[in-house]
Amino acid sequence: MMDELELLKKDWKKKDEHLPKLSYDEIYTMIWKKSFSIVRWIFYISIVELFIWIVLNTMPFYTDSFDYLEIGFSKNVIIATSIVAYGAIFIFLYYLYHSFKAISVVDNVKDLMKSILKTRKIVRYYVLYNIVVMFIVTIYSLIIGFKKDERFLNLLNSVKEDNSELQVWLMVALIYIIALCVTVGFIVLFYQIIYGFLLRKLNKNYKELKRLEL
Amino acid sequence: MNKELEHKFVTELENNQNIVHKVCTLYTNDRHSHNDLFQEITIQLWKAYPKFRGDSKLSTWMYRVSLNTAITLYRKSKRRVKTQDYESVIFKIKAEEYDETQEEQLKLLYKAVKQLGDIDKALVFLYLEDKNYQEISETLGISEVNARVKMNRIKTKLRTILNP
Repeated sequence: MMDELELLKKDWKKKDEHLPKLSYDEIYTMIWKKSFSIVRWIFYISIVELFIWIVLNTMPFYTDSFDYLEIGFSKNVIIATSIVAYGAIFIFLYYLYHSFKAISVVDNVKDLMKSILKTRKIVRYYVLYNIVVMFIVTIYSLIIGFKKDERFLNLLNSVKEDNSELQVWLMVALIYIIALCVTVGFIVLFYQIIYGFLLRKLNKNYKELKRLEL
Repeated sequence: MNKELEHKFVTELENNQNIVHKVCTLYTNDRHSHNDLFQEITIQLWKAYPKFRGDSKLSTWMYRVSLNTAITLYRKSKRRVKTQDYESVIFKIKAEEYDETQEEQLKLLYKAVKQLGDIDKALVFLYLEDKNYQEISETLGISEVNARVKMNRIKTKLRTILNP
């Protein structure tokens, strides 16, 4: 086999004459074209993500539910949570910026893959953080809602009379859990599809390089 | 200043374009993809060029950026059209240069190399370009010992592809 690869090597060197030749002008126009690299894609996706979550987080302020929020949360709580929420966005942006800057095409193959995967991980943490926050806020709002919403209190009073209180609570809990599972499942699936599609090749090659180290 | 840099870059790439073409040949199967990858590598080289200090040889730097782009950064563009089998054009073997058995053997060898995975191809490519194991290991980010182990495995793999 050694000989065969040597044979290939000898032939390989003669290949130069068969290769295409691009002119100065052809190369010159190329340097101004837009890159379609995987890093650029991840960058665009993370920007979109950032905006989607910012919109979702601030949505209560544009809609009627803000009044509803005010029933449950004091102004100070809202201000404090907003500071935390925006703080998280800034921390996310900071790390995202640095991880993008760390991606260098002149690194070795393995390090380049590692830095891309790290960037993807930061985005993943941000999404995870948002899901946890969403979970807490919904539960908290529901509890507040149950305590203060007159319609619900009336309903509860009427069911108390026919002793089906437990069933109603179970029903509410069940509906809530199903809704939560569907939402989280949808988000996870969405990410699996996007990043799975984008990073399948990279993951495969990275695993192959890592396997060598064992 | 910028114009100067542009001119210097384009001239150097024009003179060394074979390195990039060889990578494209190995990692794509048709002319359109070849050009597409060439363009992406050119963009990446140009973006990295201002930071190129000349500590390493220009060719070494080009090998690294080209392979990184082909293996990791490049995503096939949507406008890809399947054209004729490019391999047959680029790897055409001049009949007068070889006797028939050798020609056949080479054809099979090239075909076998094209079937390898991305990492394996990079190793074979650097090997064919006469790089030593130190340079191969530095380019890929693995140890020299592992580069040797990997190369031996590739040889076995090629043997199985050639003699199924």
